[in-house]
Amino acid sequence: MRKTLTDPIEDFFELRDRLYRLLDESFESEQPETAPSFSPPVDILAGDEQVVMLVELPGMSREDVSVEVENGTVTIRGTREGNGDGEHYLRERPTGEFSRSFSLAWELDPDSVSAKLEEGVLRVTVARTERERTIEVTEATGDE
Amino acid sequence: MNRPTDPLRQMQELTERLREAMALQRHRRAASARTWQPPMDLSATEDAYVIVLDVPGAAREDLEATAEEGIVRVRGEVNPPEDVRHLQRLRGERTLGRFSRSIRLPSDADTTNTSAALADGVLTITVARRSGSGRITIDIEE
Repeated sequence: MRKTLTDPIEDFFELRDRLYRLLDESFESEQPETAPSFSPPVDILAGDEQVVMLVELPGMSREDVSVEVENGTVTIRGTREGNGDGEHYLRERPTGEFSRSFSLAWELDPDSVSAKLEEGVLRVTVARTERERTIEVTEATGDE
Repeated sequence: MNRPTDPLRQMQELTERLREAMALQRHRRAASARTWQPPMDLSATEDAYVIVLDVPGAAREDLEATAEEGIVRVRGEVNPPEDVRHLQRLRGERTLGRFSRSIRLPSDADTTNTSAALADGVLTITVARRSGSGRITIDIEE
C-alpha cells in the first residue's frame, strides 16, 4: 500500500485498474483486442414483457454501435471517435472502444431486439419470452 | 461458454458490479452537490473557441446557455423518458437531474459573438476570438 490514508473511491479505481490488468493478462490469447477504454453509463429497466436498456452514447451514430443478444446476455459494443480540430485545452469527454455485457435473469427473445438512438441515448428493447407462471396446486386425492 | 463457472463471465460480472458501485458513488456526490457536471472539451481554432459538452438525454427546451464577460455557463436537466418511468429499475448508472457547468475563456474570447447547437446529445458552443488577439502595440517614446 502506497497510501497511508485510504480513500474508498481511490480504492475502487485501483481495484478496477487491477481487474482490467488481470483480465488483459489472463485472457490475452483469447481476446487479442485491447481492453475497453471507457464505460458508457447504462440504465436497465424491466417490465412484465420487455427489458429496456438506456445507454449514454452522445455524438455517436447507429453505425458505430452493435447490439447482440445471446443466451439471455445482452452485449453492446462500439467505438466513439474523438473530435479533432484545433488545439485542445480540455479533453474530458471519453473516446475509444467500449463493450458492456449484461446477463439477465430471464429468457430473452433474440429476434425481438430493437435499438434506437435518440438525443445521444441508445434505447435497446428486448422481449422476455418467459413470464411468471402460476403453478397449479391440486389437492391430493389419495385413499390413505 | 455460458457455464456458471466460466471465469471470464465471473470477471465480467464482477467488473459490471464494480462499475455499478462507482456509478452509485458518482450519484451520491451529485446528490450532495445538487447539480452534476457534464464532461467538457475545449479547443481553439484561429478564429474561435469551441466548447463541447456531453449531455445525453437532455432536450433542447431543458438547456440554457449564457455568455457574459468571458464566462460561458450551461445549465440544464436530464430526465428519464416518460414511457419507462413505471418500469422496475434494475440498474441505474446514468446521472440524471440538474446539471451546471461554467468556464472562463481567455481574454481574446468575444462572448458577444457566440452560437450553440445541440445534436445527438452533444452541445457545441462556439465563441469567436477577437482578431489580432486584442493586442495593441504601445509606442514607446524616447
